[in-house]
Amino acid sequence: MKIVLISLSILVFLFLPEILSLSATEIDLPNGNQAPSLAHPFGQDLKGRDLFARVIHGTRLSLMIGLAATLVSCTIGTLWGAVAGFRGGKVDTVMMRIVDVLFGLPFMFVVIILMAFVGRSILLLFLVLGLIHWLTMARVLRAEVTLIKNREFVQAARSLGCSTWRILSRHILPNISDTIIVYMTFTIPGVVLEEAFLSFLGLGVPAPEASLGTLVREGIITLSVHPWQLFFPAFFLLTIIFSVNWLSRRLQCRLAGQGIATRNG
Amino acid sequence: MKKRILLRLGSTFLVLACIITASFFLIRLAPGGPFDAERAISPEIRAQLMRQYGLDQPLHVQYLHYIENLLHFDLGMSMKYPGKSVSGILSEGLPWSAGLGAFALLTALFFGISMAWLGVQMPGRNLDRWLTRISLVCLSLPGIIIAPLSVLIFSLWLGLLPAGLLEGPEHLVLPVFALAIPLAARIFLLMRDSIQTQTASTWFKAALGRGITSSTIFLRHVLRHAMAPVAAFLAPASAALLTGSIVIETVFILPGIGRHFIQAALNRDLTLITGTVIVYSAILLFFNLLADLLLMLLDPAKTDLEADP
Repeated sequence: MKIVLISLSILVFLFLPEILSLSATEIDLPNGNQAPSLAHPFGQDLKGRDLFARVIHGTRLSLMIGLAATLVSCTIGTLWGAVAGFRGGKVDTVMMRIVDVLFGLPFMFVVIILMAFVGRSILLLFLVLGLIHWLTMARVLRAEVTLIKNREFVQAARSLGCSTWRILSRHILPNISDTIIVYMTFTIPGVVLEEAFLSFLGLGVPAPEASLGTLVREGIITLSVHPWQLFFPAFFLLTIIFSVNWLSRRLQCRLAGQGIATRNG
Repeated sequence: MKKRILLRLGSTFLVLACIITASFFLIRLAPGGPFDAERAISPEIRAQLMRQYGLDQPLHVQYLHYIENLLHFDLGMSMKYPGKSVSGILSEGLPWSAGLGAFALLTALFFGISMAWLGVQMPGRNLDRWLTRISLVCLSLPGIIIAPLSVLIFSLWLGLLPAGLLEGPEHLVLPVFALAIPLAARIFLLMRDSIQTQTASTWFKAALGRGITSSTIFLRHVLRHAMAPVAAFLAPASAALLTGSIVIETVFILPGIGRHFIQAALNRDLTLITGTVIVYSAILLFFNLLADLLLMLLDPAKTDLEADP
């Protein structure tokens, strides 16, 4: 029930700015730094922009980048892991060694340098964030595929003359889809956090767009005088990450079956 | 065993060499130079600056020169802090960053492991359940939220602890905890699950049945097996500490190398970025190596199986 609720609220947040027709960029300089009121439930920022609208827009942006980057990384990771596991032998060894080596690289630093040098754009942001996270996915899926590929139903499909691609897409992937979903829920909070981290450093989403990280950064500047400018975006960021973390732990426990770690939440 | 460790060491150095090469070329081939941002400078001065830093030479000559200097631990001169060498800047900041990271890691390990043990030791008192809930919240508290919030609560409102700068040991309390809390939560969850797996096993019951006290079993047997996931987590944890320390050093205005890195990337201080990336990569690779060696020690059978696929 709660799982459905979380998924639904993510959907709602993706469309909320349109539903409420909020403008996050309307500047109202005379009313800068106003405290929360009825007209502006979260107050106004330095330039008089409605903080509620900015937070809702930022939430959507953070969620969108999180979902898109997760899709990118899961696609790459699934394909890489599935091919390595299914082919086995030399191909497998080489592909997994590449993953091992990439694991040791300081990716966040590459991303920071890229964002600083190439310039900030949302497309680049979710591509590079997606490119970081596929490694774990590839490792886990390779292990799963290696286990599954010698099972009877795969042998049956093979002896019926199915092509490799068909066996992978029709027989193996559906059987490991639950693992893929769990690892997607692992990846989403990571990506959302990294995006917030980059925006916090001023290297994330380009202005005038503002993600939750940008808002937190702005909130820190006025922290001692107008703490609510930090509270609201921080609370939303926390809620997103907490709910996805919770979701992922729930799914994990459900998949692990009875026994370990079922009594939380 | 020895052969595997040597192989692992060799590959680590190989990867480090690749990283040095790749970062050198990537950073120099990227658009934008160190002298673009300033006011328009005349071509003569520009050429003079380029010559001074050796940027007018062909790339491979620069590279060979750089490697030669690197072997003497000379990372070149900074392009934005005139007269300062990159090695000098980094060796000033590194002790602070390393100290911060080490304290945070130790704090996280201490709290994570002891809380996990407490939770398992006292079943039926809801302690474990509450610890799990709290840790799920802490897991979702990234540095960029917890650092400013802790400044607000403990420095501005309660006035208990200083908000930033580094003038004494009490200045380290907030940064260390801000960095350690998410890590402690992750370690707690890992430990808790693996301790539960261990205590549910038959050998644990057999040991209890023989009259050994549960703390002896825990310290001598459970801990060793349960540490494996935590040891494996050491590598990603070090990566998290490195990126986390950038945020923490920015918020608390600490003199570590994290702040230099961001400034250098924005200023296109080519030598300083390359130097920072090399230092960070070396730390990361070291922790990866450490995690692998620990895993080998904790569970030799498992890693031997995985060694030859």
